[in-house]
Amino acid sequence: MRELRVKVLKNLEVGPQTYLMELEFPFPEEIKPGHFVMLKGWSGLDPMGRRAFAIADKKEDRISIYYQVVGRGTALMAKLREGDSVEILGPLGNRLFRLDGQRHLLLGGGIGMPGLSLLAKELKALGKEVFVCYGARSSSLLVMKEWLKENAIEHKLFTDDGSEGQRGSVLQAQKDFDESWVVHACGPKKMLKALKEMAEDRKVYLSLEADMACGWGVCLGCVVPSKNGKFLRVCYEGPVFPAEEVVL
Amino acid sequence: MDLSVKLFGISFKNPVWVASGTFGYGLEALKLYDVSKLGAVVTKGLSLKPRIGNEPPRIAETPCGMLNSIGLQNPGVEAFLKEIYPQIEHIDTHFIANVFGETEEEYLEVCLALESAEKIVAYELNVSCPNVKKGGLAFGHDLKVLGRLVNKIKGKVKKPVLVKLSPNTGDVVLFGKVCVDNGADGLVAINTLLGMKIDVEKRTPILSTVKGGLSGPAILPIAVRMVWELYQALGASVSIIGVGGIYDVDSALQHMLAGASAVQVGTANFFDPLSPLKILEGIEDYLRRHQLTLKDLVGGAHSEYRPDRCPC
Ligand SMILES: Cc1cc2nc3c(=O)[nH]c(=O)nc-3n(C[C@H](O)[C@H](O)[C@H](O)COP(=O)(O)OP(=O)(O)OC[C@H]3O[C@@H](n4cnc5c(N)ncnc54)[C@H](O)[C@@H]3O)c2cc1C
Ligand SMILES: Cc1cc2nc3c(=O)[nH]c(=O)nc-3n(C[C@H](O)[C@H](O)[C@H](O)COP(=O)(O)O)c2cc1C
Ligand code: FES
Repeated sequence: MRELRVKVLKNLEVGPQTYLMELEFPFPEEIKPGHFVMLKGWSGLDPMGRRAFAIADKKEDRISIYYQVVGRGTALMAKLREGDSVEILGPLGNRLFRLDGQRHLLLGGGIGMPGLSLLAKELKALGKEVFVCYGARSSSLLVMKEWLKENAIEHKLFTDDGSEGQRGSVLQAQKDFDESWVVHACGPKKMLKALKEMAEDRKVYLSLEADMACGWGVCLGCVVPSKNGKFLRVCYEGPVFPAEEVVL
Repeated sequence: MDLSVKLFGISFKNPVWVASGTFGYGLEALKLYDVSKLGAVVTKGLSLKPRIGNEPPRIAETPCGMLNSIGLQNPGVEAFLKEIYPQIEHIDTHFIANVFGETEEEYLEVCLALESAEKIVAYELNVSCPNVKKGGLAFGHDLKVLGRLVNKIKGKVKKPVLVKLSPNTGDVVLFGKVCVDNGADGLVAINTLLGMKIDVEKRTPILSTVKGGLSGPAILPIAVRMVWELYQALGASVSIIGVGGIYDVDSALQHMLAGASAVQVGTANFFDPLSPLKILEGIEDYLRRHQLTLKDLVGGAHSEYRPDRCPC
């Protein structure tokens, strides 16, 4: 975990209200699939807190994140230009994706896909079988489809409105892969909840989101109920959990 | 520069501490910086039995601040001693246990369980948590009950007892005085202010508990005012620890000039994790620039005592 002020290397609009930001980060070896950062790209105390973003990719000296403008913090981020600097804390998260097992099915819903992309890349580099099902409301929101092609990751696209790929949810695809495939998913809570219910009998890992104040385990704000009646910190005991361990 | 302060018979490295509930038990921060640089770490509230805490959503951001309703989630004092304490033992600074109970007896039992834990140098009684149904505010909002609690604990424990005051009582001085009259060694001001936030799209309160505790820079002026009032009324007889809205050196200095002998950084740990260290450096720098000592700072803004008119 490092606290750094770093330069914005790129901040591109890649879809409706959706941006790709590349940031300086000189310690790529520290980043593992599942990690996230807390980022503040504005000065002053309002908005006060940093915002959480999955690390979507890393190259020698840089990381990238994809973000959707949903409120004040992300709206301010969208105004950043190349050369501006932002504060980041990371990499964060202690329970990350597991790379063991030979076959991996990744289910990415909307802006959850950037939570899985680095996993896809690393699994492929390890010579494992990887298949990504990537879904969004409509075609223009499939902002990582080029990335999947560039990195030669086998994948299938889904849209709710049928504007690209198969109409419907990525969850349909899950049935077509037998239990030799480990499932990893990241996306809206509704999707993860549905997946947990329909895939009870197989190994499923979920990367969760929660409102976070600190991101490093000290506020106890980001909790998710566990199956044995405790509250676990998403930022610290997660963000990746075996589906059977959490109550959604 | 020597920034050490002696309070209630204990020597602290410096007056910059971290506040309860905003720093865990000090372990998470070890990955980020040398925690032994801090003057002290105040632990997350400890209760006799484990507490699971409140349902999420537990936090909500507000203008220059945040609301929380954590509900004192903690593993209980026994598990703390067994599992966490051995890991903090080697951290070379003082720890203060923030103690919470639903009954007088529980407060006492938690303190007694910690008596032989050397690393814990004092107790901070949390009588001001707005996020639990029993205990907490019940003690902090009733003069008689509070006096009896402090009296009982003081009579039974060896370590200094600090009382963390509620800002939600109307008159913080009355409550501070009752603590001092019953032997409290220090007053900690302030805990969070009761507040709430509503989601206008859903037309419902955001926190699962509806109301929660407001903290962060938004509450700084209120905290400074309360420290000021406590110092004016009781400064001669008790040490005051300032907490509330501290996020940079200016806000920390305001607390000290109002009367705080030491300060606790709370919510700022979330949005600026290195802020305690920056504040520490800032205080050193300030003292050097103005050729003052720490002693000059404490209460230095009160008219009876102005450092620039000090004969020494
Ligand atoms: C571990 C983790 C990884 C994340 N990765 C990404 C990512 O890769 N890309 C991305 O676009 N977003 C990601 N998010 C969500 C992102 O943090 C929020 O969208 C962001 O904080 C919103 O900030 P804001 O100031 O724009 O919105 P706010 O004004 O704070 O909120 C606007 C709306 O977003 C909701 N919201 C706020 N914070 C969160 C949150 N943490 N999770 C879910 N909803 C929230 C609020 O309830 C509100 O309805 C991630 C969150 C977590 C916890
Ligand atoms: C998430 C959170 C948890 C807290 N938990 C405790 C606690 O367990 N015991 C306590 O006495 N105070 C607790 N507090 C109050 C703080 O210690 C502090 O008094 C208050 O937040 C005001 O300071 P600040 O504005 O610097 O945060 C908590 C505050 C926050 C934000
Ligand atoms: S965000 Fe603070 S504990 Fe997880």
